Amino acid sequence: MVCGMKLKTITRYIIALTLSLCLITAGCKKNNNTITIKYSTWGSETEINILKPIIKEFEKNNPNIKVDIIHIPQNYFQKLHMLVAANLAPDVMFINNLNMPVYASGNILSDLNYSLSNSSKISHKDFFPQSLKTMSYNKNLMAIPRDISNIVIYYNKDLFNKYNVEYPQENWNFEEFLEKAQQLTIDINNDKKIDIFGISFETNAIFFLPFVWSQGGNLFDKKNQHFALTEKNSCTALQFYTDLRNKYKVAPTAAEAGNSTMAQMFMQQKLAMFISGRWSVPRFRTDLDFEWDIASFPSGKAGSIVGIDGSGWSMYSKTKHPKESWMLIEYLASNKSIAEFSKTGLIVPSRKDVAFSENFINKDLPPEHAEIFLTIIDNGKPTPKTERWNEVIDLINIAMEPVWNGKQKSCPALQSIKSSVNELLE
Amino acid sequence: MNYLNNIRNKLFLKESFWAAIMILPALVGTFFFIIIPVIGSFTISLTRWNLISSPKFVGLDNYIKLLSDQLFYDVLITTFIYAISVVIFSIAIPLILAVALNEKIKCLTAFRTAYFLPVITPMIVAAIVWSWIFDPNNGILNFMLTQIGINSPPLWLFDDKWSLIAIIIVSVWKNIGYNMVIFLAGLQGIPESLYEAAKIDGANTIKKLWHITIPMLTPTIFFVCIMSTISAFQVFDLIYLMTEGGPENSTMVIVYWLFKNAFEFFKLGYASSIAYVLFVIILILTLIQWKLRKKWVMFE
Repeated sequence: MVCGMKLKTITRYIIALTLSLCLITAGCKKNNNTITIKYSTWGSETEINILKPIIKEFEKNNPNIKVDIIHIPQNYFQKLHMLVAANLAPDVMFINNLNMPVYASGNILSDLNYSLSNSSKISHKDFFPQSLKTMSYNKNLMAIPRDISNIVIYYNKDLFNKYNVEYPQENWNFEEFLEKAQQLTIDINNDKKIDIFGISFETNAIFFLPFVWSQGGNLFDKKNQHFALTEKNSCTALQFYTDLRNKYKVAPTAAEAGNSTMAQMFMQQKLAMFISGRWSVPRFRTDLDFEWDIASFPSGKAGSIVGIDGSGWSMYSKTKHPKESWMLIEYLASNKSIAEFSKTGLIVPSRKDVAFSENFINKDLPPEHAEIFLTIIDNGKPTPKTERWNEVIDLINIAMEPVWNGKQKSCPALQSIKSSVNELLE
Repeated sequence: MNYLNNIRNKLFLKESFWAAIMILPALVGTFFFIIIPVIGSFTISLTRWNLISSPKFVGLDNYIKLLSDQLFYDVLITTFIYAISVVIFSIAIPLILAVALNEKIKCLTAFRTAYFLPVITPMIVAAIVWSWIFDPNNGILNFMLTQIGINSPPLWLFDDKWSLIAIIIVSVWKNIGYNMVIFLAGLQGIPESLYEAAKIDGANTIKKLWHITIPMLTPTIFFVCIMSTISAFQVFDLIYLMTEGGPENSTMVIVYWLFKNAFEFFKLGYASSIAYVLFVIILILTLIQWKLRKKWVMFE
């Protein structure tokens, strides 16, 4: 009996406490009509420092909207995926083209074509057509692009001068590319250990696909249904790429690079040429104490073709505040906002007006030939889209690892995963 | 009599009631964060699900696919090699150290602290520092190896034949201190009188070690053995931080592979089926160890 009483009193206390807590929190929430928009993004600290004033400005112009920035610097898509799965997806999500298909096919993202056509502030014409294409999936526009990422060849002018090598010319081909890399691969102290390598080597798809495309090869067939890296043009192009490291020895092996990244090696003048994208510019502008510039990717049988990737702002399809979310996207995609992001040299802007302005092509700041980032857009190739991108890339990486390490030829290695990749593409 | 029974019943009621209250928080935690997820993940293992689109029931498909996946067997072999080596070395080395540090030698506390330091070092720090130590160009390890006349030292994390060995070295280094402390506690529980008796009988140090110390320590060794085996099969952080399973899958262990399937490819069903296979493996190993215990663990 005594116990029963006690249990009752305890339960009562607990219920009373919970109820009062509920009342307090409920009371706090509903005091005015402010709408809170959640916006998730990745990015370094500098990038977030550019973003914050833009958001503040937006909140000042729209006093009834508050933007809650969810900054996820590491493993962004892993965490976003969990948020989406838990029905907690942010109203506005910053995404990139490679991870977009998963969300697009899961009906997580709104088609923004209609909103963009009817907007008074931004329109289709403001953006590079290629950039909009990158952000589209089955003809639906899944994000308003912020930037285009494509790759060029950074080169150390001082090293080129020191070893009397002519700078890369426009329309240079792979023979000239290899020749320059060979001339700039140098063992300074004759200890049989190379001190300066001609060219960087990275095994991510964005770095090896330009070799494939420029030689007339392809990743998938036209309908994205079959694996095409096994075709002769494709796999011989990849063989050339791995030969740079294993046959001509003009690029560092994984062990030769050790724990240093390619960017670090370029900065330490251990690399004469470095394949990379626009994102390297801010750091190079402040940290490099030698002369440097950029050149376009060399031309092969099919010309000089690099990939076009990009990132942009998309809207959650089940957002409770579509109007306010679109207002935020409109603001972020305005000339003013994109110009802020582009000013430091971080991005190739998706907007033509920013790209063709002093902001991007600034003759006072390196690289001298910044316009190359823009001229290569027309010829560029949006990376093919598949929901199973991560798995396809993992299969390719596993198959290619012995090839990158010089133990196997590229064509048979790729042939061995052909059926598995085709299965994923079905 | 009846009256007495009544009082006892009440007391019993009261005690069990309070016992229930006391274990309730732990029980609620276990129920929500262990029991429910365990059942849930078994259900998921019977489906195909990427967290976003709705799950599709596929029966035992994931298990069939897993058992016909060549990579699964490679991963399993790597995991076993890793686990067996780590368990052997992280019992043998701490045992020797514990016996040595149980003697009255100079700077005893300093030694004990030194060996325990890796345990309290966060894994992320240890992993980063060790990957610099192993660096083939600037690393101190290869620098020392070349100094003592080894001309082409291994490339460690960049060589598929050495990468697993490198990971095992770091793991053992990290485990030594913890196991050593457990062995020290076990050693302190051995009554001095046994050694005195042995001394009177004329036993030397080796004999004392073999006939007293080790037999008396077998329950502790058994405990360390089971715990090390379980944690070795669950290794994840080191792989994630140092090699990501590479080069050429040479350090791809089962938990990291599971993680990749679940949170990189979002194949939740497949990943859950891997988890269940891992559970069965650990269960079988622990049962074997329990059975074998009777053969070598003394004083139980």
